[in-house]
Amino acid sequence: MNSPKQQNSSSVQAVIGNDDLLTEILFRLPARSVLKFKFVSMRWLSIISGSSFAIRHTHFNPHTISSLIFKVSYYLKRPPSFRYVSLDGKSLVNNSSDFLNFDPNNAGRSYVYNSCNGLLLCSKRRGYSFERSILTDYIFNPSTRQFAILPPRPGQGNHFNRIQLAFDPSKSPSYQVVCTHFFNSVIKIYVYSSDTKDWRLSANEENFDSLSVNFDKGVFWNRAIHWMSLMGNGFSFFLDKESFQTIPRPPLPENWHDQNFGYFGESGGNLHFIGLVAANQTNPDDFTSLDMSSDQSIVVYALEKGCSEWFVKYCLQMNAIVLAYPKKYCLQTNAIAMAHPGVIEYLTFSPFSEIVLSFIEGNSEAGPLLVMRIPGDILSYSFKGKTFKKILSLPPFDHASYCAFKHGETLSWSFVERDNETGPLLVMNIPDSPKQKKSSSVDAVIDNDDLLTGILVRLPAKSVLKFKLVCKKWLYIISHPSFAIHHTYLNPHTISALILKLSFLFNKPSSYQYVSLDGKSLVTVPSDFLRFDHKNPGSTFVSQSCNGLLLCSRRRWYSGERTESTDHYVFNPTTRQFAILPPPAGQGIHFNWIQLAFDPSKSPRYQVVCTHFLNSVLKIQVYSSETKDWKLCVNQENFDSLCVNFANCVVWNGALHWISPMGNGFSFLLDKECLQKIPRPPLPENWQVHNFRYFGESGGHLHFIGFQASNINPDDLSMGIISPYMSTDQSPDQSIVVYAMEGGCSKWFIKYSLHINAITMACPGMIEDPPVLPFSAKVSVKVLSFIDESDEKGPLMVLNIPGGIISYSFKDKTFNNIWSFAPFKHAICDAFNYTETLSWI
Amino acid sequence: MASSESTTTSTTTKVLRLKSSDNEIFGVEEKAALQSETIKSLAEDGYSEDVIPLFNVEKKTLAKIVEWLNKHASGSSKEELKRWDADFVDVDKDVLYDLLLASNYLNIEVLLHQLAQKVADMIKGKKPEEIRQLFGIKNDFTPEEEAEIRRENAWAFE
Repeated sequence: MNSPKQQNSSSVQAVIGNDDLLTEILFRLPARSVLKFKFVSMRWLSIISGSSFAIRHTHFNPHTISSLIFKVSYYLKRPPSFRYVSLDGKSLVNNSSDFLNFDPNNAGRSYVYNSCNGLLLCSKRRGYSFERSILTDYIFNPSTRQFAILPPRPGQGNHFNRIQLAFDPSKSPSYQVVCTHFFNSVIKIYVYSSDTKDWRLSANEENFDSLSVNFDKGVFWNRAIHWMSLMGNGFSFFLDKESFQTIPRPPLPENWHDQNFGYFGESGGNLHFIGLVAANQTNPDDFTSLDMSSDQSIVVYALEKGCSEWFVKYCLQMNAIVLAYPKKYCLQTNAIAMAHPGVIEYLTFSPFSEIVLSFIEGNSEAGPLLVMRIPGDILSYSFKGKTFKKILSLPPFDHASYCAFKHGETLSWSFVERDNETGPLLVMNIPDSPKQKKSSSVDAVIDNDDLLTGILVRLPAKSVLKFKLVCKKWLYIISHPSFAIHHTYLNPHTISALILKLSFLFNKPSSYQYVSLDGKSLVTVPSDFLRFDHKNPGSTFVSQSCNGLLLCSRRRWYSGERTESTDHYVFNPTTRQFAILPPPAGQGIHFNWIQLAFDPSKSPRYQVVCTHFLNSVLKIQVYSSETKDWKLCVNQENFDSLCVNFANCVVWNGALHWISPMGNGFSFLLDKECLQKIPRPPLPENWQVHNFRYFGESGGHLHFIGFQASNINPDDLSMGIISPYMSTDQSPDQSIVVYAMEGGCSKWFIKYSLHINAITMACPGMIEDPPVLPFSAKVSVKVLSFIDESDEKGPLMVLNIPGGIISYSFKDKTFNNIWSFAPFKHAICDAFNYTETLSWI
Repeated sequence: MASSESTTTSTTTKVLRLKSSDNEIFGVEEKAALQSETIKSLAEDGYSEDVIPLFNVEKKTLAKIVEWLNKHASGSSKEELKRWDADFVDVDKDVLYDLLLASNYLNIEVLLHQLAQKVADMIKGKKPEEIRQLFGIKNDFTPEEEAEIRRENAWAFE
């Protein structure tokens, strides 16, 4: 009578005591509870652990997606971390260390390929230091932590294999794994069955048109594996019939492009294709209730089982995200817009596909859920509640790429086979490949995408572009927009060459020369170098270079409408991408000066500044590549311009700087949107306008260069020891003096000086022309560029002298001939620093 | 007596024992070893008293890694480290790639950077064909695709 059992009524006893009834109850519990209840008693344990229980439980609870497993891949981090997040937002576990360490006999590095109704298809790779790398594929049930080891994949090596799990517990407790091998237009499909425990060649077709599908993202649905391309073409492979079939194309708008693609997957019995569509391009009948004012919408196309046509099922305006997260959204919209059709035609991974991570339908309570990544967060959007919910916070400047696997708890057995102590370690099978001859560590490095990327981002831009040709995998890595950002961030300011613009007045049309700074390469730039915009005729000129991007202007052939005679472009000569700038507001081009401001070490975005000064009114408008619009930042009347040359503007240290030949100037701070005076260099008292030669920046310094009386060593000058009687006019001894100002400092100092006699001695050609007087040299020497980077070459000054262009190294104290004007003596020359960059525009 | 003993033990630096895949044990001062994020997290998981097993690193590679860890914890001057590092990465190709994998596995970011830069410097002047040969990569482009990429990046192939 004292036993707690006896407090229950006899009917409770009867039900719980009846194995069949208890089993029926347990079937209806969520998997997690069932697993907990194993510990109730030996009898419960034996019921729950039976394999028929698992099959029937799974049959009762087939498709409930309760959580997502995020795979977070970093460039140089290892291993990729896995985060397990429940969709109700209540549980968030960072499982990076032990989540996938299910096999105690294999401590190799884990990958998840795909998830299918509660089971994961994973692999572990280990043994870098053995003769070969050892790859083991597993089926893993994270709920029960059971796993099965698959026999090695058939086929010739890992690179062309894609594996896909096919498991539908509502149809069958057994699963299949599909290994697809597509190479040289031959498709081979091998299927592993958990019943036969073996691989079998199921399809082998030559001259197969892959329709450019992404074999990495196969989707198992309706007893078939489906692959689709970014353009909406695709085919399926039916596992039962062992035959291929074309997937109907979703009704995408006519101007659909790769970059519009977001996601391809299945959920709740439907196949889904998600993309970014301009709102006025979809059929309004499909979603009449929605506000059509927004520009772009995320559109979910769905294909139901047994149907042959896609339809628009859900639609979410981008504006809704912007409104819900106004500050965070900007980076990604820019990412969407920076893609230009046709620039990288093989781009298989568009920025938008990094935004849409998953789509889940068929969960009763929350309704259809769209999982998206925005800067700083991963969100879910419920189409039922029309609400956003944060499900994961991300680091603020996160270069990692995210991939989501849907997960629902299941008791499904994976049919564990671990007969022996060590477990079968399966050797990756690479016959006939030249790889076999080499050590495995080289292969292991090159096969590891993180390491390969880590190496590629450290190559010069030119090599990187060349290596696009190595193979598709390399092309894929290099073409990814985040690769460009990462590459530019690591290599921000490396000036490798100059682009010289030469005009010989009436003798010859002007031309461009590409001159590498090491002096090894001198190329006449082909005349079509600037003809990047094939749609618009007209001649294009370079007006400025800024850390690898060129600001160009194009004059249209004169027409009646003179107001639109000039277009401005931002052009990346390395990748040949370009963007046309919308015209700034204002009263015509004549009083406008346009400047580009781009500092990839600070931000992948750029700004363009339009300065307008007329009748003592200064107006400054700033265009941002982020907002794609001009904004009036300064509008000041009675402005004293200090006689600066508005055309000679230097972008440095987050500001635009203008200076007059007398050393007076001001700057415009881009972030604070305000004007500020520049301190005056310590010029000698007798400084005159014609002493000024150059104003520029390099290697973190601002430079002001001019001629002044010599016999002064730089130390004396910087200490203020300047004799008043050493006037420029009295002394024939002249030097080119470089004043420099460091970022964050407010003072100029004399950094270098070069005696004019050194030039005349090194270049006797220039004194052939009488009168042979040093001051004539002074008149005819023009400073084109001054490059002072902290590398081996040392500071370099590029000079335009009669007869040609020379450079002077302050480190080696040597001159180098860069270019001879022969047969002409004089030319007008402008120099633009050239930096290779992969930056996206 | 007892108290003085305990002070001596607390001032002596702690040594972690790292075990290579071929069962060689290396003793490394904790300060040096913790430059590896992997060892750090294993140590935090309570491995610090035992031997830390590094399944992916062979003894000849681990010996080099330990050398690097010790040098970089020794407080050498920046210039000296720079020279020393240049020497350190100047090794046979096989050793270099073994080190790269090991530094990746052990998550030693500074070393990983140096080694990746070394590999980048070794391959930067090569042609795509040479890269394929070097790494045994098959050319999976059709001639049309190849021509298209060449056209788009024409200047890089000059």
